Amino acid sequence: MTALRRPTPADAMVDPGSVTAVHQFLPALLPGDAVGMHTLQVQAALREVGLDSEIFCEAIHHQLEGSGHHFSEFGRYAKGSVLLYQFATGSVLADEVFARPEPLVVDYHNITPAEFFRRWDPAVANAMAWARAQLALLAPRSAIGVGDSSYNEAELVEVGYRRTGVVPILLDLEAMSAEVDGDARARLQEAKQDGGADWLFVGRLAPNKAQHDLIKALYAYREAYDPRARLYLVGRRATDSYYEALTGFAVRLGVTDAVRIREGVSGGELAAHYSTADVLVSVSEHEGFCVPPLEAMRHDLPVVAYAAGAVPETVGDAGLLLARKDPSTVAASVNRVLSDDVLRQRLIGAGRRRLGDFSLESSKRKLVEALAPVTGVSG
Amino acid sequence: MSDTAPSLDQVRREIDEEVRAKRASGALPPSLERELDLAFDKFAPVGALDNDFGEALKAADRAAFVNVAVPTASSKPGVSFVKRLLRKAMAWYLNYLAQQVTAFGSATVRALRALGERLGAIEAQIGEVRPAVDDGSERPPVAPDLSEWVELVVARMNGARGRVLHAECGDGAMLRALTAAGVDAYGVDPRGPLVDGAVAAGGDAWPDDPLAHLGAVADHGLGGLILSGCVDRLSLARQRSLVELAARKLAGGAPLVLIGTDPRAWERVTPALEADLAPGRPLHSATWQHLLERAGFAGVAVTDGRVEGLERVPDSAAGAAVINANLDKLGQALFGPATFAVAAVRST
Repeated sequence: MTALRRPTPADAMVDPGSVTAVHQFLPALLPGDAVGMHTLQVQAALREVGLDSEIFCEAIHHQLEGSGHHFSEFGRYAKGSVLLYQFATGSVLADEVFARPEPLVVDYHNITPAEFFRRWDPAVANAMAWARAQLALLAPRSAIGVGDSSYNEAELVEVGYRRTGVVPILLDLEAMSAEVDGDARARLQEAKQDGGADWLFVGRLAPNKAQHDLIKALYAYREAYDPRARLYLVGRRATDSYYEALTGFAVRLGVTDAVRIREGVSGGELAAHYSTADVLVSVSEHEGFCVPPLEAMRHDLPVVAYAAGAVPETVGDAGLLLARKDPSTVAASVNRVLSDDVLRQRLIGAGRRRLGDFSLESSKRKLVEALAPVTGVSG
Repeated sequence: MSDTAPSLDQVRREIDEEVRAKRASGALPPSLERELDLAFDKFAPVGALDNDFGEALKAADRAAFVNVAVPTASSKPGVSFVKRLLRKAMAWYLNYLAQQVTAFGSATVRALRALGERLGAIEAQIGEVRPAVDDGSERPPVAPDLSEWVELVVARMNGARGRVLHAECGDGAMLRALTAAGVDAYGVDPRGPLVDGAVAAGGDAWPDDPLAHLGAVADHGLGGLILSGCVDRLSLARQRSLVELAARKLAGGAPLVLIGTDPRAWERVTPALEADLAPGRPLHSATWQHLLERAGFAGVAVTDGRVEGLERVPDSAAGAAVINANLDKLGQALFGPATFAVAAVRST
């Protein structure tokens, strides 16, 4: 690890006239990962406006080999560059970029507060606390801090970033519908033959995502409205202890057949879930942006979500936002959306319009404008 | 979309009505939610629940051992061989480090175990001094009579911006008065039978511990707060926590009304069993006033309840003036107001 040193004041390092490249740093470049896909789109946006842009990581998934470099190779690309650090987790890369002399921009995707994990997995909690400490460490070193929501921007301001902006995460939602895995869709449709609504939640199996509250809500829904309803939880486990609690809880309630956990699904399988589900339900307690509601809107899937973190900012009026998430309220809300055709069509229509606010081209323009003070390049 | 389609706010209000109806009908009883919470808590990890210190120590004991035999499997050809080679080559180094880390972990667990034993001894001594704690759930479900304060509470809560919480709400009489006045009110009470009654009567009530519920509410999320019942029997530390939580959970400018029992009247009006087993004692209105002002509340005002004095002699009777003056003094000393209300507003 590079030794830390006192940073040069951020403003003194910015000379937009000499910038020819914006190179990105992120801990791991992974397929299907929102930050990874965002990074690739950012690279494309920067290249479109004539800037060189390479990606430097600690690790690159084999499916994306050739898309980035190991960060130790950065030296020969450094001249005339600005560093854009994609911040979503703690990493030795934070220390690396801290110690570099080039101007730095932090693109912040949020860190889950450690408290959510403290009782489930102290090691994960400590990693999150470390990440938050690194976020504060980079504040005086950064010329600009960019959040992908106002919620994230507020956290940047809170830890000391002086110049901040909001740029939504860059997503190619159009590409999703083309990727539906036909076999997976056929299997999901077959499972619906016996009737019952399919609830869908997409996201890591993590305490802050509160899948346990979704299981409670599904239980209440089956008791009061639809005894054949199912809940698909699509996402990788963040910690074994929470995963085991979820599965044990489902057994205890006698809903093991109804609660279906799907880890490690491909992009096509995910799209199949979106295309066959009846409603996307989220009772997550902490979200810095929340991509799944937008993906759901892309598939004309109505959204019911607890209004926590950046969820209201992302969903807007294109989903049924709830001020509380007790099982009865969530169950009644899902029932209303699924039984009220006017409401469902209204949410679907609002969702299509909402996607326009997060179109790839619009977000790319916002990104280029946000970086203009350090690059001298505007859209 | 049709112009006649209800707004999303209207949809949410209708959903709230639907939930109330389902709960009142027994299709989704309030107790179901508590049962679901308790059922999930059983699967929470060791250390997350009360009274499982021993299990937590066992888990720490297990985790103290550092295993240097890293997995070497790989789907890529040759990689597994390289991993095995590296593991063998680095074994001397990793073992040296792992032994020290394991020794540190074991020593820490031993220290925790010793600490746990000493803590257990202290807890046992405290148990001898105060063997029972009344958290409300074991008390006979007798609904408190707050009728004397309905007018004041409704006047204070009228126009509240946001939901108003009543903790503890008992049988929901205050909630019904608030709802009738157009206030969006809900309540919590740890006594399930009372809550079921409140829900059956059309109130929005939940079986929950007032402090735990307040702790779970979003900061600045409440439009108003009524505290009663629990304020009289909590320990001093929890009474102070309650005030701090109230300050944190109320929105700026939101009203608070605290209905307390005067300590001088407490033993007179409280059943002996409940009074004896309560972990704390009621505070004087002046003390609540002080705590609320210190927590950032403004306009703190105390209203005393009715005094049930001695019957006065007619003014025409011989010596009536002297007798009545003495009866007033005696009545004040013996039958001072049993309850009081402290009203305040959360500073913006």
